[in-house]
Amino acid sequence: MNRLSLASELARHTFLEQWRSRYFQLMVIFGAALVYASLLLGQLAVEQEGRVLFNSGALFLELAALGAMLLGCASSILRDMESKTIYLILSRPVPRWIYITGNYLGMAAAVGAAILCMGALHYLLLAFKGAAPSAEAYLLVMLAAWLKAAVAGALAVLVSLVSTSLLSAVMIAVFFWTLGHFVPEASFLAQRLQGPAGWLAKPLLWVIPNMSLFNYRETLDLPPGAFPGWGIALPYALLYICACLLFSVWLFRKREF
Amino acid sequence: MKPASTAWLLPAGALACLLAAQFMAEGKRLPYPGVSESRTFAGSGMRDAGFLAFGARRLGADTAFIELLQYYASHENHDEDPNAGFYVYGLAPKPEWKMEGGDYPEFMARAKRVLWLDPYFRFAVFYAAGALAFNQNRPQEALEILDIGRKWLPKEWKYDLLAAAITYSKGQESARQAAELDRVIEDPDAPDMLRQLTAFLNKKSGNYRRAYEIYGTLLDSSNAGYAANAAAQRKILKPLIDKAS
Repeated sequence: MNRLSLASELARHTFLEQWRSRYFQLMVIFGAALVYASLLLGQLAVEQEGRVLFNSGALFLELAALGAMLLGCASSILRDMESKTIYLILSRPVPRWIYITGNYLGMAAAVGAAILCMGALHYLLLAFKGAAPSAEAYLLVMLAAWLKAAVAGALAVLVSLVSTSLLSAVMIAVFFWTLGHFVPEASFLAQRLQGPAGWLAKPLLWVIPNMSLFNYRETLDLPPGAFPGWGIALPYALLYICACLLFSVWLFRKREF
Repeated sequence: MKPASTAWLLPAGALACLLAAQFMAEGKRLPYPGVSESRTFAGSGMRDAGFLAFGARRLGADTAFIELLQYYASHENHDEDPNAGFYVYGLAPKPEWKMEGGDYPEFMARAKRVLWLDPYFRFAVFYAAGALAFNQNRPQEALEILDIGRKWLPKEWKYDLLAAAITYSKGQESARQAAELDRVIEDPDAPDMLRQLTAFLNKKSGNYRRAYEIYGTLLDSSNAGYAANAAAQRKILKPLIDKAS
């Protein structure tokens, strides 16, 4: 079995495992319920029901995808270690980088499928209310939500290898995800900081993922050119995910089982 | 020695990827007002920060706008009755709410909060400016709201039309005011409040047919009050149109 098929086999396994996992199913059902519940919020906005339905549904979809991705990525390696499954895998000719990459790709694919399911429900609701954007724009909204989750998931894999528990790994990843929406403000503050505080703050900014690059849903009504562009968002996500996975592989290679 | 030398390739590669990614994203941000320009309203700071942390400015603006609507829909003297807490359920006297006009001193601050969160929220700009100028007789503040909207959407010419209509309202020039507003309400984002006002001004200046048409668009309004009023006005206007023709 060559390395590519090994990685795809691992990814397929993770994908199926996630879809059978109760946590994952619960997260997707909860996300879909939230998307549906956004109808209530829309009612309050009277004449702006469509806008509120779109904004709240897109956010709930993104949060559900993020929750599923973070839980899955942070728990997958820890769970394999606790259940000793990892011995079964690594005792075979499976390189460690393939184990990490395959696991991650499977998770990303499972979350992508979950986003498609929740997005289909949301789009149907929007169409029913006569407030659906073009299908192309909505697909891009889902792509952006998936990229955000994918970046946060790669970070969760890395953090799970240095953290002692699932909870702390998830919390740290959520912390970075949140900070990621404040990167421009944090950069502004870091430039103003003097002395040791400034020296510490500036390198930290190079670690935080710039999540506003993926906020496509916030730019739909903005004048053309407001969104930084997929030419930046896609390579940025790819490079950031590569960085996290390379660090993860490096840490994982040093682990002894 | 070989494994030791290649072991550093991984973190070096990771660092290179990270630096390349961050270098690429340097200075990239969405064109929204900065945190330093914050217009949070009393007690709303944490909520607004929460929306920002979730990257959900638009939903934050929606929530702030719903709060503005609720504030504007509340009766100005709703807390004036000192015995309010002591009535047996069902026996409270019928309140005498002040239904027209009102000061709504927080209206401007609340509207600015909405526009700080999302200055591209055109409906909110139209609504706030219209309510301030035509319902609360605060044209200067209405023009200020339009200025905020224009700063972020300088090509939005309907803001200029609304500003012109506000200026004409000072001089009681109903016909000119109606003409300007007529072009504003072509926008799907124009609030029904402005449609109702345009219909009223057209009726006032004798343009019954146009008033009748505009009231017709209000029959499907999500606001039951506007829809009922539109139906009633159409009944009044129909014989006037027939008589004129």
